[in-house]
Amino acid sequence: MAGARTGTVSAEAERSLPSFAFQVWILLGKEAAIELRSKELLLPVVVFAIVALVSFHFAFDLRGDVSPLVAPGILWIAIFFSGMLALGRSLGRETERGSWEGMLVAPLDRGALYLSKALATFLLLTVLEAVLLPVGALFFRLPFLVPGLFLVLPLGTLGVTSVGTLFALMAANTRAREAMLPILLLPLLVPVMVASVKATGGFIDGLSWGEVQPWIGVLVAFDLIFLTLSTLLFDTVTEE
Amino acid sequence: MERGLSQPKTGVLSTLGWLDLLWLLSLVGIPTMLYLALVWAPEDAVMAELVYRATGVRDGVAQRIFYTHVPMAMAAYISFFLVFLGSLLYLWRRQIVWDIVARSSAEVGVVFTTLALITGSLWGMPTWGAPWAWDARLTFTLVLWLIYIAYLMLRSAGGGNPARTARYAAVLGIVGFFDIPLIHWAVVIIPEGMHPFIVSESRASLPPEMLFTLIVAILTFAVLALLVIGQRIRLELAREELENLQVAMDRERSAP
Repeated sequence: MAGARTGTVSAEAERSLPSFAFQVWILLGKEAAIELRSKELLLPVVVFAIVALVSFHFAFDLRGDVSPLVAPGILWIAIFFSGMLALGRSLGRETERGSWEGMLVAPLDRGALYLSKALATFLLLTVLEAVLLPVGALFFRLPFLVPGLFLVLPLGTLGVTSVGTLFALMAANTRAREAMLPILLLPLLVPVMVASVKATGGFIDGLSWGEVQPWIGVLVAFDLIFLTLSTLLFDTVTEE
Repeated sequence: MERGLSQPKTGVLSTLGWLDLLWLLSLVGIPTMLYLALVWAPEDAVMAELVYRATGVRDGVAQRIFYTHVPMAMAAYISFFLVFLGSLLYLWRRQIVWDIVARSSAEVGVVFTTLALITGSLWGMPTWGAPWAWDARLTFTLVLWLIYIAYLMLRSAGGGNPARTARYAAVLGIVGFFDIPLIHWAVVIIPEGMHPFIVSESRASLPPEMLFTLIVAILTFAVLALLVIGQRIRLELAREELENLQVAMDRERSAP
């Protein structure tokens, strides 16, 4: 497997390649440049999330006392589904336009390719959350802007993008790709969903750190395990 | 072309002589287990009490489903562990036999998980008065079921590239297995830790007859699961060999 890592570069050329971290940095710059020019992902994802919030209003009639009970769930459902939309498009457009093959023959570490994609989607979703939180707070009159959320949001979002990037690439290469991604991803992300919703609810309700801490533990463990595992397994998914 | 696709046999699994032993153990184990579970083991007082609270009738017989429910769940876990092992070995050795091990185990695991879910719901009817009450352990089993249903769907959506489908499935087989403890942690351990009295009520120590019956049942179902998986592997290997023979025959026929 290791031999296939960097295409057909000679040993000498391989030695002069930029370091792993620098490769990630360059690729991340590439993602940012594309996104800043086209806004091809951010715009649809943000609009989708707002449409989802409005739909939740009609579905649950959230004016009354129930808002604090269902709000964490609404927030995370919006993030999960926007995340899947972003992941599906981000990897889907690469395989559709053939740019992915170009990246695969480039002398890059496949792990760097994975991390750059995962981090790019993570940043995209962070921007989305920066819009989603105030809009959600405004629509549902909720105290979404509690400090604890700035811990849960990145941890949960990283959980979504860690396995999400791996499976989005797989789904992009199967039949029925749009249906395949949520089918693969949602059951695997159950720990992230449970822990993020519980921790968000805990912080909104003003629970003590000790009561929220087990959920944060689940998120940290999930992120560490699956970022590592996905970086290792991405090699297998990309080989053709 | 990936290595190993044209040479399905490996020394370890081509003979499968141990299948006969599993047959024999199942033939003895299943009637024994049924006798122990349905006749020999004493009726459960805790269950009778639970049923009394839900329905007003004191009847502990529903507890006997526990002797098939728990072993079925265990058989499913064994199968999913074999999916993980097969996936890992496939990615490492790239021999199709390991992919066959993984896919056969996934199918059998899904069947046993389905049965565990059904028996769990049947048990729930007299206990909770409803077939589904989002009980932590059943919910956990349901999530596992969904993961391995997704595994089977990924295999069928692969399209015309069997080597890639096998690789993708192996990735899911590995990721899914690492996810199991985290799901258990988030769905069972933390919520139960918040309601400690439920744990002490349902996890009271088992009387020796019940424990013995449960152990026999678990072993029997483990043997049964391995037997079905073994048969499935044998069938797939035979199919693989038949295909190779057909290709070879066609080649011979087309040669002048």
